[in-house]
Amino acid sequence: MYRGMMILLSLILLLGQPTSAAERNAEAKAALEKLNWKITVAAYTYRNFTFWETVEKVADLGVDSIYGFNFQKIGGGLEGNLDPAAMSDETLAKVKAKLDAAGLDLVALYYGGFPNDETACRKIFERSKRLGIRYFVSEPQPEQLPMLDRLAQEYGIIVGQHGHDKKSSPNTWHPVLVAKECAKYTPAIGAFNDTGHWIRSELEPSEGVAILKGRTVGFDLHDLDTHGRDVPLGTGVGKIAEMLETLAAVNPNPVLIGIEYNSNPENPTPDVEQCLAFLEKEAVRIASQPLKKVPPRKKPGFYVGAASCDLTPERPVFLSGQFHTRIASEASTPVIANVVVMESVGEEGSSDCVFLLSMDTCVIRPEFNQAFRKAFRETFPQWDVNKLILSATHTHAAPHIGGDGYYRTDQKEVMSSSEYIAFCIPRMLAAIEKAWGNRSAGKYAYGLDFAVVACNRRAVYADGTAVMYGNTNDPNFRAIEGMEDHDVGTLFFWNADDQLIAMLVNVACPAQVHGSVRKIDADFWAPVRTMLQKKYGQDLVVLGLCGAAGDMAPHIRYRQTAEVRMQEMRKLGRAEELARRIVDAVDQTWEVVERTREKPSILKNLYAEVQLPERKITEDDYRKAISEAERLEKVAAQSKEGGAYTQAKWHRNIAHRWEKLKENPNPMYPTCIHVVRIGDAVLCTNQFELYADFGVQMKARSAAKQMFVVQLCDGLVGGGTYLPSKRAMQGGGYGAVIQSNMVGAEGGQVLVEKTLELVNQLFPKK
Amino acid sequence: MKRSLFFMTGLLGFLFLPMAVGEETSPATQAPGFYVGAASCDLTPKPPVVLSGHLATLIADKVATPLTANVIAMESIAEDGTNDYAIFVTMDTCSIRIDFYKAFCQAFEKACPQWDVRKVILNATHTHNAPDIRADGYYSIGRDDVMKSSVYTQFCLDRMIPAIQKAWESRTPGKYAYGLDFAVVAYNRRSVFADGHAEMYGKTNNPNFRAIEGMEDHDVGTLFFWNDQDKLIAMMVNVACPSQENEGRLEMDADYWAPTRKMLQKKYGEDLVVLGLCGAAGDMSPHTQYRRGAEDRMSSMRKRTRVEEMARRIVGAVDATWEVVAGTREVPAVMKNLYAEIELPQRKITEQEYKSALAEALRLEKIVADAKPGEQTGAFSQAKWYRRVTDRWDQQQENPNQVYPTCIRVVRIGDTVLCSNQFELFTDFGVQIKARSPARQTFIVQLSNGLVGAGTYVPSKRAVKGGGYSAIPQSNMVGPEGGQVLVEKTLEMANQLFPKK
Repeated sequence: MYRGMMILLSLILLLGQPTSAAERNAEAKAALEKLNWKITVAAYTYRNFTFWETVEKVADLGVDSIYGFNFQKIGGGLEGNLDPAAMSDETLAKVKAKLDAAGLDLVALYYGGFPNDETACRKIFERSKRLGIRYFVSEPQPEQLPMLDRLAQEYGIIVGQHGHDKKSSPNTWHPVLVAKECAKYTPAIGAFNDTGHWIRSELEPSEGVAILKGRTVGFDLHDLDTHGRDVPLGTGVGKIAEMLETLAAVNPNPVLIGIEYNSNPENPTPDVEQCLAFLEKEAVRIASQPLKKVPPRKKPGFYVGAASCDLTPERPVFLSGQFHTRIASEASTPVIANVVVMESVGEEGSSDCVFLLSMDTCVIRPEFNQAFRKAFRETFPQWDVNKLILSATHTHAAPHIGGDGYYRTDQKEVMSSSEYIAFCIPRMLAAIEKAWGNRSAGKYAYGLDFAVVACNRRAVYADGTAVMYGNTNDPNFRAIEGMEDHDVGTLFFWNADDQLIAMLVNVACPAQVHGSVRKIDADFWAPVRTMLQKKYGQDLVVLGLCGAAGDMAPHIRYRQTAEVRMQEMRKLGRAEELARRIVDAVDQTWEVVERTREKPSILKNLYAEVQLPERKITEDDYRKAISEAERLEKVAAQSKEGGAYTQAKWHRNIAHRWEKLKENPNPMYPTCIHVVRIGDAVLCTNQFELYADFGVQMKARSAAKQMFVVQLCDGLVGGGTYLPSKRAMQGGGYGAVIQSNMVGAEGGQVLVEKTLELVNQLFPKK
Repeated sequence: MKRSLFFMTGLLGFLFLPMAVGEETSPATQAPGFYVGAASCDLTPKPPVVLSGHLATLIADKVATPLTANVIAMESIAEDGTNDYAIFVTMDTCSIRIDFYKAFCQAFEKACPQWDVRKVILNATHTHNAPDIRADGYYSIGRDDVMKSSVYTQFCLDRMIPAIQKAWESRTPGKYAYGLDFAVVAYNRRSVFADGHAEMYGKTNNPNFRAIEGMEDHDVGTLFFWNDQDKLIAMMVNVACPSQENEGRLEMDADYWAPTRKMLQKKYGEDLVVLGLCGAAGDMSPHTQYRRGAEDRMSSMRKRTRVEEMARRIVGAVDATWEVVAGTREVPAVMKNLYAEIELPQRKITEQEYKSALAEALRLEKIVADAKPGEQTGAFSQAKWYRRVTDRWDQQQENPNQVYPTCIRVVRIGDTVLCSNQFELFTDFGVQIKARSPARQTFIVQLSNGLVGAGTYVPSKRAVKGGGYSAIPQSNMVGPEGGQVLVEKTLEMANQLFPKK
């Protein structure tokens, strides 16, 4: 009676449901036929159940096939696993009957490893054929493929090569490897791609499909979230829709798409239904539109492109870098952004890229950084925004790109910071797009020379105190606090026509000769670029990258008359004189290295978010800061454009930090670093005005042949701020006092160690 | 009167005994004006010789480059007939040892009785590959074929005195020009570690490395001199870097000054006399201290050795200066040579320092005593190095405020001033002098001759705090306190030469 009621119930359910795949979605069916795709469900999705139970669950989904795996227990009162070679004839017949009753084809079977013996293999093929299996999904050894190709042709069962990660599947983890093997055999040997493993291996599924072209025979189709967990197709990071478009464009052959879903193994059905719906919807969409144009896959190599854009505004603007308000209505020199993009495509199809921008600005303020990154993501969704590096030259004569209201004026025509940010972003994005568009197979060279341009600006006195720009012509003056890094590191880039297109010039000196002017000015980088373009080509893109120079300045600190005398005899201003020295260093480097140009063996761009211990506020710091803030706020009330307003905020910030310490006595400062390997060179960035000692530590302990340290790059929550050395903190003074730092020497050391850790990853010891 | 009692009078303040030898007594024989002459002489002996500059005994059996002495003699005659003069002599040697200087003075006074030897500024380039010029017996040599120091001293004097005379006699009305450029050749060689200690040549790729102790002075100051035919006859090139890149090699070598002179002579005339003047560089070295891979790669691609690369940079700086200042040559308005003998407070030895030094001296003396007859051992001179400290401790018991007599010279040439001292002066002191000097351009020259000793480091305060070779008492007669006195006295004399209007 019970059995009868179940049959009756089933009939009722069936009458109320689509009874077959054909009726499930006629439109989808037509689309799938047009695309030559067949959707199935992988039994592995239901691995917590027996095959017997799985058949019922898959049948309930309304599909017409199932893709089994040979180590699933059969169940249903039958012993053993779903391995045709191991089943008895009776078991095999019962399994077939079960499938037939459910209306399912056992279209594919995961058979991880075949025996080397052809007789044994033949038995597997023969018995699998009896079950109706049309695809094996396997990881055969390369030497087995000739035999499998013969058997596959004889029995009409395609062997699809499946891969896990690189360690587990050294022969099949990467589509390039599979494509190479498939090319040796008939279409009976193909690629059965597991997109879940691709995503975990940081391979783009779309790219994988483009590599394999017509050799893809099937999928274990997964989509994953950022933690590597299965999520319904189309909701993860795998860009599955894009992959399906590419599949349609490059592969007209039959493809079996197996939905394999690893999450919620106790009840994956709702999610699998969502996957089915996604696939059907995508099939309809793709079948109804022209096939997308898939560009030919890039040949392995190194690609580089460059571009510039003018960021000089036409309206008056606030200049950034001083406490007091300065408004510029004209420009002494243009301010620009310069871009170099690099891409490396590996033999195995792996790729990496770098978008490196140098901007004539004081600091990459968080307001600008957040807006820019958002715009980048929206404009270039195909690119990882963490491959982008924004750096500031530290000119103190560029428009402010922080929050509105930092500087104040009654003049209505002055452009606000947000307006200027909105002005810059489209131009910079266009430059990135242009640089990317003009990239071609390129070469690089690098080298080192020297230019004495920076002076350590902290003078130490007999009582041990240090003063920024302290008077050295003072009987109490004892020493310049620390060393100066006079390296000029240059990276040169050539395009496919062997034309020099770009240079990165790394100088540990902030561009602030004209620190107090009231006109827009790119400072010494303007004449540097002009001179380099005159010598090396007017279209040359020159990126000025400021090294670790938190305690440096381009201002002469002693024996001024001797230096100025020479400069005057040369009829040069200070910025032009510094440019002369820098360009001379670049020329010297060029003479030696330009003939060494070559394709860099590696391009790798690492990004890391790190937490640095914040410098702690003491109660004494707090009290002094409050007192000073209150005094300045009174002064600021009298004048809008004076420096008291911003200085007061500078001190108030200490009070906020003090209050927060009560909640968390060990605050951390989140920041980010980029470490980019380009051949034998490495570029390491940080957001700070980093004291020279830390840069020297990095260079001294770096595993690279030559290191370029770049400060004042993008951060996470803030922009700039000095990061002083221990001796500077002892000496005090602007740049080393608590108001100037979120992070002190302790945090600086963590920054050094983390940077070197990433460098060592890129230069593993042999 | 005992020397110690004489020194005690210095307790009242540091007695400056300026012997301002400015108003010369020698009658002028020429018309008013500025006169300059130059000459060189070769000081390369036949090997083998014992090399100076090391605690160990190093014997050189060959010659890598010639060693020379270079001389510029200048005289300024005023309208009233009074004159002043200066004779600069740079010598490819480690240090102007007091034994050598005494012999030099005797030979000079004998050969040139009309001149005051205090007008001679004798400097060392600090090469560590020249024969020792101390008294015989400083090094335990263990070989009979090695030229004795006293023999080499005489060898040098026989050549230098005539070179001085030749420079003097060849002087003609002349002109000068001067300028400043830069060459990154010196590295501050003191590395500071996480625990605060400093080490000379400490490993900078050590995870405990924190900073280079102090700054480097990359100035290249050049003075050019023309004769009455408008021919460039001499240069003084001031670089704050000791010429010791090739130290440790068993060969005679003028180090980077050899290729520098050669390159300059090739460009500016084979007869050009080039004086290499070492600036305040007690904490400097030509050895690359970090990112060596990047530097060596460039030198290697240029197919240059390190000294040739340094020479390229220095000559590049001289050339860049020449381009600008050659057209400004003129007769210097003033040439004045001040000399002063001063007393600097000696660095005091602590009891701890004494005990450590004594223990080490005894240990090394035992090694010497146990050595086979004639066996060469570095312990011999090393023991003496430690004994300096124990001797000073003993002296301190009699007089706790020891002073160290030395001499300094301050020479005005037109708008420039040259300030010399005997020490291996840490850079901070040189920077102080330059920062506070009234001259348009200041040249600091270390390792000139002294009064009672030669060389020895004068460390900065931060160096003493960090410790390590060159900042420990064995390395110093005079510490930062004395260094400050040296600075003040030098500036006092410079200010005398550039009175405020």
